[in-house]
Amino acid sequence: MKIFSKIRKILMNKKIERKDRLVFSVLLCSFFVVLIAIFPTCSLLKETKIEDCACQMSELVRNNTSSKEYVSVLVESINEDDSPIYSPREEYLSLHGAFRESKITYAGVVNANKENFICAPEIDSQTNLSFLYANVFSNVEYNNHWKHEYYPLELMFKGDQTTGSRYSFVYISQSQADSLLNKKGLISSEKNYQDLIGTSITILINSIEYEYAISNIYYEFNYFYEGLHEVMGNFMVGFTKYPEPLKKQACYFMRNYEFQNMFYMNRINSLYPNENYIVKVNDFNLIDKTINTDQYLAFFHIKEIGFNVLGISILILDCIAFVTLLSVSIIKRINQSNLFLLCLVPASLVPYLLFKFLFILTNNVFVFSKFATLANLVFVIIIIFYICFFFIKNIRHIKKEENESTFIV
Amino acid sequence: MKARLLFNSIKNNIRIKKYTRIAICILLFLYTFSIPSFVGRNPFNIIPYVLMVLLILFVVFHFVFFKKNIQIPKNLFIIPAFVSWALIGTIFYSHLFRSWLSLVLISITMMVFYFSFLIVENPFLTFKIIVFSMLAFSLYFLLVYYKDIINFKSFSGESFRLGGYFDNVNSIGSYFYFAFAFSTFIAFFGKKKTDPIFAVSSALFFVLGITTGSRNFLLVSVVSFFAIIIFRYWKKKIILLIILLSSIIAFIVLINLPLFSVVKERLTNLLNSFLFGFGASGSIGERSLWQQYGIYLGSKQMITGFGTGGFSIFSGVGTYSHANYSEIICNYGVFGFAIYYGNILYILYKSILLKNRIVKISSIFMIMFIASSFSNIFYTAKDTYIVFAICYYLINNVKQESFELLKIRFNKATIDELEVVI
Repeated sequence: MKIFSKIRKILMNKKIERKDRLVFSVLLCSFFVVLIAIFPTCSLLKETKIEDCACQMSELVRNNTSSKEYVSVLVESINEDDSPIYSPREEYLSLHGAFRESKITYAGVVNANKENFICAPEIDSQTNLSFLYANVFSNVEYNNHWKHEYYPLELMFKGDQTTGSRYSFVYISQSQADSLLNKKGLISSEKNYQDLIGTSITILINSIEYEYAISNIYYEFNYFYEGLHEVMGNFMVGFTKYPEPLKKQACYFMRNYEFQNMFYMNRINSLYPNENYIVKVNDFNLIDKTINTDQYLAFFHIKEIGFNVLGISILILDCIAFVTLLSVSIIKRINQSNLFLLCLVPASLVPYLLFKFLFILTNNVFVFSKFATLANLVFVIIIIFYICFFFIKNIRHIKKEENESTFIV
Repeated sequence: MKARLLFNSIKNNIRIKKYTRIAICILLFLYTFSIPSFVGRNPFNIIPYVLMVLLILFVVFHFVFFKKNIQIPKNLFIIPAFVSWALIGTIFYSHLFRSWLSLVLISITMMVFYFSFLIVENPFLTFKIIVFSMLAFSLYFLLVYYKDIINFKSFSGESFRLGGYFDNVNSIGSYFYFAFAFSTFIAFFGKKKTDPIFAVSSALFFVLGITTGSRNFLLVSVVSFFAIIIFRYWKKKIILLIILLSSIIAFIVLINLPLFSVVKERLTNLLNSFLFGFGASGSIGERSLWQQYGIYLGSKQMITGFGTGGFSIFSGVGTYSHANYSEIICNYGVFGFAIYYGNILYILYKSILLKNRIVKISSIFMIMFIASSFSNIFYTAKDTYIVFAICYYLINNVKQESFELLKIRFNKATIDELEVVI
């Protein structure tokens, strides 16, 4: 009972005069409204639309791939001479390790979505091949063999890209090399692999024959190979020049994490800012290939700027309102009432909990967007520090008054 | 009856009290030495635990027999409150109870250190114990790495980061910046004529800290140095200006020497990632990205957070977010953040209010923690809680001296003259 009376004394430390009761109620309601208003406001922002695409992409990875690891998004240029694809070396090195856990983030590819038919009849005339392309081949020593200069693709030999024509060389996989050797009646040995280097191989690109020199053989292990193989199947490694209609593609690996997908989507928007580029979802590793993938690409070049400006304007007004409310509570000395401070706690947390519950029910990012939750986080942190500071000050004031009254007695 | 007699005989034995106090000082020295030396090395990482158990036994013994009124200040429960809050997210989301238990043990360590400092009763002695233990560690460090250090070329080479033999190199860097701060504080604030000699140990800690290649070490040690100078010479503006300017010039000259080219590059990368969000080469700064990621996740689970180790699990990154504030927001939500950083602000506020020079080290440490929040995780580090224990000891036990007593003590007439002394 003593504890209850003490709590009552702390909460009722300041008697709220009649004229202040209106201010008390209006302030509490205003805080509640300001914090609630953040959520629908932020649903207007461009970032929320990107977040929505990112969430849908995560669901696609979770529900429509067998490994639940990756879905690749390809960026292509309509006219490569006017609008080239960003250097694969620069982009790979920029993104490699962005999200550390050893997962592939980016690769420069050709025909990843198998729109064209490429095969090496000497190996397998049925399998449609893709290319991993690079602009630099200064391969480095790695664990008693070799590795590509920036892609973590492990190689049998150092590789000499000047074998044959300067651009017409490929690195083939160990399985492809085994298949070639097998067809020649040879066993798979280091000497035979070495002998393959420098020999030519015919590659059919949409039924047109091209001669390439085999310049190296890559190993089919590690996360990089596995990720590439998952999204585009069998591939060879080549240089940057390809005959029409093949086009270089920037391949971004979307995952089961919304923030990561948002990051890649913003990156695509910043690197490929104009309409000379197109994006596609590569459906090679999707279980259901009939789904309409346009909804996942709505992040690309969002045109509805008007709503974005409206959303930002309302958000700024919201921030001004928040600061004004804090100032009014100090000027009107409502902060001296511990009851007001206590009521401020649910007033600030209930909007967040309400919209979180809505999000759990509807799974709609627009009711619980990144900007809304971030803004809410900042406001709530400020409110918590505000409450703690004035609560402690009020308690000290109560103790001081108690001491003074005891002294007078 | 016999037990009572024994109890009283021990209680009244001044010699036993003295030896207990000495034993606690020795154990403090050994424990502070053992953390950087053994905590990252199997199977020697059991040594700090053994020393902690011995320390607990001696502290309990001393309090049972020799302390009359044991008062546990309320502010000592702030960190345990934080640890208790951390359990909620851990139960519902991360389930990393072992990591949570480490936090519990760390908070107990803090309490034990607090009571040890109460027994030692001399703050400067405590600081010197820590500095000497770090000097012992520095000697050990030099023994292991003397070849690399003598070969100055390794400073400007690619792989010059020393300290991996003991533990994570960034952790070793953090031990060195605490040691640097303690040592520099004694050198500038010490009352004895021999205390300025500690500037030599400061220089040693600074050089060895640089060899770890830790950017956080560079940032925090520079911040601590400037904070110490500002607090020390605040009343003497001209001296303050001279020291600050000459320090800045010396730093700029040193950093541009070929010898420290890698250090300069790492510092530039750090500044670029703070200001622009990417490293010197234009590559994405992982750390600033992970901080954003941590805050994003924290905002989605604002009330409880994801629990201990939550960022590592729920981000897909597989490691911590490399910034203390974002890690706490992500793992423990807005209330965990408010408790932890409220604690730091509380200590800063109290230590600034108290007019006693020795308490200023608490302010300096809190400023170091705030600076380190953006580039390091320190809420799981043992040395952090030793520092918190010191800060609590100082703000709870070192009183603001009354004006009259100060006048008598220092034979000064006016408050201004007294403040100069203080």
